[in-house]
Amino acid sequence: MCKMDDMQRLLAALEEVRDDVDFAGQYGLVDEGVIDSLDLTQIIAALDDAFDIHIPAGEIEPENFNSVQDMLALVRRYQGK
Amino acid sequence: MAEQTVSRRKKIAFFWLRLVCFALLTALLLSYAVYVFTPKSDYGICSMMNLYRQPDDSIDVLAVGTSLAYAGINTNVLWEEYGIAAYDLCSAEQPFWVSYYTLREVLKTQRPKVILLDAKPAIYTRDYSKRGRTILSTFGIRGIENRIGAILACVEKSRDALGYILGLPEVHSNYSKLTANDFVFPPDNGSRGASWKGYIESDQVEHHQKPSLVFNTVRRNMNDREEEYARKIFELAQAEGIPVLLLGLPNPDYANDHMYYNALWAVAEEYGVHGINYNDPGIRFGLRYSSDFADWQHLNVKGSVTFSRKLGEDLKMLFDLPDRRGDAKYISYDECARQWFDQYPLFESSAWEEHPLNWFAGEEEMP
Amino acid sequence: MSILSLEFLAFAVGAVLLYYCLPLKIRWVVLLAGSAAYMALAGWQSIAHISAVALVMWGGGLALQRKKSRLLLALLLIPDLGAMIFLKYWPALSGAAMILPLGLSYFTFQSAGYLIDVYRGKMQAQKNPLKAWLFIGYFPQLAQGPISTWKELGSQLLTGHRFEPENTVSGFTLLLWGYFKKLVIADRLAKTTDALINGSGLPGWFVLGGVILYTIRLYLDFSGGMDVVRGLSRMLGIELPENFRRPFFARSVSEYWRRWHITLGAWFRSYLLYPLTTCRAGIGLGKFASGAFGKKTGRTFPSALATLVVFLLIGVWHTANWNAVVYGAYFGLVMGVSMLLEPLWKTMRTTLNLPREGWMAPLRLIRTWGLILLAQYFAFTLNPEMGFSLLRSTFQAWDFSGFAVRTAAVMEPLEWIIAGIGCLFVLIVDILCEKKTDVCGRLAKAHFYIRWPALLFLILAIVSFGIYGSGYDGAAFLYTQF
Repeated sequence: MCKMDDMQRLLAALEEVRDDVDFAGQYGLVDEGVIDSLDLTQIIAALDDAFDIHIPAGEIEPENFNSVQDMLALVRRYQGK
Repeated sequence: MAEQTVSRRKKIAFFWLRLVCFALLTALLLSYAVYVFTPKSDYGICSMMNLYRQPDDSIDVLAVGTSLAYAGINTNVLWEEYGIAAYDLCSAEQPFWVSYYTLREVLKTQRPKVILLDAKPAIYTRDYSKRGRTILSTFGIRGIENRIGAILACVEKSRDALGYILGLPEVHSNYSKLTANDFVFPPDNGSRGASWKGYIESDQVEHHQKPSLVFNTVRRNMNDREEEYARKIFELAQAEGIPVLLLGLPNPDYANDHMYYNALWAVAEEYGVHGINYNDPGIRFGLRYSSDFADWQHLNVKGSVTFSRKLGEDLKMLFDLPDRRGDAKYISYDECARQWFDQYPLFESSAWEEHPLNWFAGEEEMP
Repeated sequence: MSILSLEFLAFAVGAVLLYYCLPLKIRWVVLLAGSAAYMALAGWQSIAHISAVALVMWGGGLALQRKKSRLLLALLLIPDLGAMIFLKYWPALSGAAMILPLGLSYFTFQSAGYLIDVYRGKMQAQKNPLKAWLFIGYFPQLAQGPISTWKELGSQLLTGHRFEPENTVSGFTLLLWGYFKKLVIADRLAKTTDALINGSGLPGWFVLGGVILYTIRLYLDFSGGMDVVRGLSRMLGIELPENFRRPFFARSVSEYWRRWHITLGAWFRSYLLYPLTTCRAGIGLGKFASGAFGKKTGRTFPSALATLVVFLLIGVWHTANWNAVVYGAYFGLVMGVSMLLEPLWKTMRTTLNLPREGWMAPLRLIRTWGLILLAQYFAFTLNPEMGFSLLRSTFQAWDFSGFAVRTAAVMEPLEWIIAGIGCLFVLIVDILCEKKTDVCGRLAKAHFYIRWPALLFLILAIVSFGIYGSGYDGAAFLYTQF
């Protein structure tokens, strides 16, 4: 799977959760309160659907979700498992 | 790096300087706050604070005791009739321990020729004396050791004393009762002015009857803390070489007090201290229970005049009290008396014999 | 010892002085000694229990680090949380009286969080048992929290802090502000709550007013206590997390719960809500619900359900009575349902072209206040019957004829004025804080002739108008018996 595919899949999954947020360009998504805890749980579910990975609750930290790059890194870490 | 340390040291030094100044300022303001909140009505604070304004060694007769004493011992009559320089250092329900510590404080600057000790505290139980306002009367004492001593003697548990020693926990709730006068320092003694000598008159007139009881010598033990401090007072006076005269001030409620007074008199005997119990029917001085009392305890204005005339006579007889009239050092007594008699002209000695209420003098109600 | 007592003030001053007198490396020992003394003074039950928990936490942490076993985690959490649950609820069920160790809930939650964080690999387990003890026993947080994570608090406790005058002054200001809120305003308003509980046949406006005042009082009481604790901690150079962020500025109930008792919400979110919603069962439930209700609603379903569970628990955590269940269930349902209906609201908003801010903001504020107010009927009353009865009477007998008499019977006019002015001050400061002004920090940096009058004003207001000393029985902090 190539990188761009992953990013596109990620953005598509995120779009399902919040279509009003421009995920690609933003940083501080959690810290600035752009997405809230409900969004985070839905993103986890969406990532599960999109990448068939199970991200445990312990990973729900601002560092992992503040930007799409952070989220992609997280996905990568769990893709092998 | 060295500069950083130096500037940091300077920063910290300045901080400490500011902190100390701030702490001093706060302490000052808080002390003033205690003063403002302390009720300055007849609770003994004013008479204590005013005492500090008396010239050293200017009080010849010091009356110490309860509200019976400050209502009954009319310092103006004592001055006007006999030239006795008397001061009432009393407060409502003042127990012997507060009297003891105030005496210790007063004796730092005064050397009275006689101490008049009100016998009334002999009847107080400990609960009676514990009430807050008794302790508030100590707030006028400047000497920390005596103030803390008095407060500690007042409370049941030492822990309770902390609130009184700090002051604010006990008095700050008076914020709703403050008047402009409370902020004035020193206090104006309820508009009585700086020359005031501690006498507080009661204007009411209540009809009472002479108490009927059998005057025996049966004793009823005083509260142990009252007895302890009565003894301390006797010992202190003995050590200072100042005679004490126990006073049983007349009051219509005397039937309840009688046996306690007997006990107190017995204790006083051990120290060679005598007293005069003016409730004794054998002592006649024109007191009329129908018109001379403000309530069950206190003599009213007329009663205090009658009583004080008798007291002055007895004092002159028993003790060598100089006539201070005309002495420049005692001008405040003149001022005080002048002021008072201007308010109560009917009680001036020259007018006294002509006083309508005295047309029937000499006749007292029979029980 | 109560945070309101003179002993505590003396203790705090002593602790601060001692802290900065000793060398940097052993400053944490001062904190440890102070905290141990504080717990010991609270009774042998307190110090025994917390030491046992600390031991389990320390040992368990090291074990978990070596072997990430879910079973081990469970074996560690069960006695930890179980002891808290038992001590809190057994008295209610059996009628027996129990002495709760000081800070039971707070140190239990904090130790549980530590263990879960080690298990999740988020932190290194602490090797030194004394340092581990200090993490949960740190004395400012014992009475009412906040509940901190190791990440927030751990290293702050252990690194010795250099004396920073500005920090100390800022902390002192915050401390005074907390005392002001609690002693001058919150405790003064206590009589209004008593009037509601003890009264009967009260007019509607009286009940409504009383419930509103209770809510304000609770906020001032709790956030005031927090300010005292945070201010003291700041004087030691340690920033404890905020527990309140001006909750009445919240535009929605969810936002309210992110501004009220923040660390409790954060703990439940991290350690209960997220695991529930993101575990395999949770995701599975979401997939099932997506099939039934569509993806949007379906994915929200586990969160909504988990929110209900979490709030039921939060409710019951407060007290072991039916009111707590009503309170928790109410909030859980309100938030769960609003989560599920969010897509609907969104469509409505876009079709009707309603903004979220602007003129909608006050409406959203008022709606939120209304929802919060409704819950308060079950916060201070003794049981649901009383709560519902008061709720009914709010809508009856709006007869203002007895207004002057009734209000004067609760408190004298002067008291109302003092409380009112106090609330006004709090409102102004809170508005400034909401606009991101660090009031305490600015004051600490200002010239002394600006700062001193402000501090002296606070001190004089507290000593003059505070509800303390004889003539009052000081209302203990409402959140201490947890």
